[in-house]
Amino acid sequence: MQGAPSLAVHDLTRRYGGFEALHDLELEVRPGECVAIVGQNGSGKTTAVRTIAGLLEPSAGRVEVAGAVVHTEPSGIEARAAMAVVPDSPALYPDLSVHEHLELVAIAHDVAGDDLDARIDALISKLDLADKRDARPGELSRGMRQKLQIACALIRPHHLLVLDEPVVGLDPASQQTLRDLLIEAKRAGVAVMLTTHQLEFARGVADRAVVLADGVVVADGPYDEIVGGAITAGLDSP
Amino acid sequence: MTYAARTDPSDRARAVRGFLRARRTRFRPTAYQIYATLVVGGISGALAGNAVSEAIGGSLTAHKLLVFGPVVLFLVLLAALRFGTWQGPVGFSSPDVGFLLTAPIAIAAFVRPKLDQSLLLGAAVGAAVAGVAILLTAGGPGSVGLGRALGAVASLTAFAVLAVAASWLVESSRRASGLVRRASPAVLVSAAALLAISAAPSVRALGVWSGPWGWAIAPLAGTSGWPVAVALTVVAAGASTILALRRAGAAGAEVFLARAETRSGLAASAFSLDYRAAALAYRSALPTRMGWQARVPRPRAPRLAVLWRDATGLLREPSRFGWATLFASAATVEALTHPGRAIPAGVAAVALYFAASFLCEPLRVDVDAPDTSALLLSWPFGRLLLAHCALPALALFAVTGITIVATVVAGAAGAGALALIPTVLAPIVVVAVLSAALSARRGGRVDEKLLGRLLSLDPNNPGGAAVLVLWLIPWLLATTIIVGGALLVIGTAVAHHRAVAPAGAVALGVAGTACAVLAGMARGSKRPDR
Repeated sequence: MQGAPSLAVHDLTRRYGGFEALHDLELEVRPGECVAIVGQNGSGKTTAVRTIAGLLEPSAGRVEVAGAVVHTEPSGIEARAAMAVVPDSPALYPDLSVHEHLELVAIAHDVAGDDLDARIDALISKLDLADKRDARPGELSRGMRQKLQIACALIRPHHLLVLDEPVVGLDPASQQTLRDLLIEAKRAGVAVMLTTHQLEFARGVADRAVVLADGVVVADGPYDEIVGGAITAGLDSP
Repeated sequence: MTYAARTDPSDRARAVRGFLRARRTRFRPTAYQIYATLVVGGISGALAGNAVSEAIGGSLTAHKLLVFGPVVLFLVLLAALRFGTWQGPVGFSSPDVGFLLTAPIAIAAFVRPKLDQSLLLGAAVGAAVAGVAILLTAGGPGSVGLGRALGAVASLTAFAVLAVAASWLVESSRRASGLVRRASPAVLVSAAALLAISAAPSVRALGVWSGPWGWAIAPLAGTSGWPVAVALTVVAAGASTILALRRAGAAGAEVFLARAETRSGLAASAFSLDYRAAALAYRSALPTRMGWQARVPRPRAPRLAVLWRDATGLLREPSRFGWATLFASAATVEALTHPGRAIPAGVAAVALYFAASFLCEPLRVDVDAPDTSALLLSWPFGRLLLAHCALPALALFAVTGITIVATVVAGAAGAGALALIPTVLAPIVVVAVLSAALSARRGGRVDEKLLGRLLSLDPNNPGGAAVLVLWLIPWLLATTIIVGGALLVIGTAVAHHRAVAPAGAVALGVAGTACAVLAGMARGSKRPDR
């Protein structure tokens, strides 16, 4: 976990009207490192992910991905190229198939080559979606739609992978597959940032835990040290 | 690993759009659908044309154009600006935001084609409106002449383009959005002032030359100097279009994400005929302002709890009071300045109902979550509903009373109008408030039984449409009949210089009886089942 951070968040504040959802968030994630953001509902996790992903504008502060500032153009384009995001609720085109969603991502990110079909097939096989290759989102379960979103993030190269509650709707086998994929990504030098309620899932994947409460970081340290006690005490979400 | 794009971003944006165009399901109407659309469109078009023709008294005279044209276009421009605060001419779906706007392509590359499309659509609508207006002109299209007709088409087309461009400028700027929302009540007052100016022959020219809303009317109305007005409209439209196109990349993904979420919320609510949820979805699209937390001194008597809660809510959301004041004072002025005329009396009643509706929001919140009020206040629902009517009734009585005094002082109504305040004003206001509250009681949803009945209505049976209207606006109809009727009775006596006291007694009797009946219905209301 050496080198410049893949994600650097400085003094990030986000307000909705007069309500401050995030206050002066400082965060760095280095290549090959996985940071889990944990906290109760309303603690600011999704706001943090959406702001880092460029879907929300910060009220103050700066987000840099691979050295490129996310919220200004044209550096935002570079930042978006280096970052893959899995949102908390899948938003898919109702009239595109699983395969076509992945094709679209490849075209938009300029990574569609002659081997695209083979890459897509390999990825959807890994995520157990091979028999749903031509299915549309309406024919997929919540968990399958979530896996498709994950596939869309993984089909293209990235420095940083951001996942918001990635295991919601996934069965235990799929959770294990996702865990393996994240470990594989870390080994390839990808920085991973995820939010989750399911503390046990992140065990073995996350190196660090950042605990958010009311938009403020209240703890930041090794995952097992910070969260291990809560898992042992059975405070993990089922 | 490299992330440098191999192809030009705008080429990639084009490739993405091409991919989506080729893969996405397109609606291909059948021959029957085209036939049915043409028949229904033709019939509705003829009916609408007839209605427009009736509304303008058969044809568009230069006088009507000069009096009403500027204010109508002024309101159209305001509507376009308001539309920009929560939707606007450029929209993306939620998947578009997730897949396209997070791709390493400049957002402007996706915004620009949609903006171009909206500007073209605006131009087409403007030209079509100009065509219809020329057809409806007094004396027929021949009386306008080719030059003025071309001028009218050019100016109304340019005005429509200007409205679309302005709407995008609002959509793409958070600051402009906030400004438009805050300034809207003042702009509505300006519209009233514009109408007053346009109605006065001595200063009418001011209305025509006051801005693009007046310039666009000039060629059709035959105002002297109309070619200058056309040129001004075209220049204004051109400038705003250039500015809008330059700002194609000004809006970030957040703008479109919020709008996409609102649109899908609205679509879901419309599909289930839940207009309360639709209103909440619309409201959630507006930025929250929590800077000032006003406090009202806590009452000692428990029976004042709801009044205290409503007063606190009103102070923390003053725009509701602002809109209610605007509607209530407009209703009062309309009724006082057009005594004895049915349509102004009806319009005044409708405006008073809407004013009351703005003030009944805390009741709607209790209906949204009936368990909350059941837990916090162990009152029967009917008592809660009546308690929520107290503040709206007091506020509307104060606003309408002050407006009556102001209208009399301004000389727009006789001193006799002051007699309304201690007599029929209170029951009239209470009827409007109780009706709005009884409407809010339903929570803006169609229950399953009624939905079943509505769906089983025979479209060939005109009674079916009546049932639908009665379901949608029963309390608005009740207010229009009762309040409009009372105003008409008194106004007729005033207009024909008859004895006002007996007419006032009749109005008081009608409104008072209605109050008693409506209050009884409110008291007997059951807590909605959610």
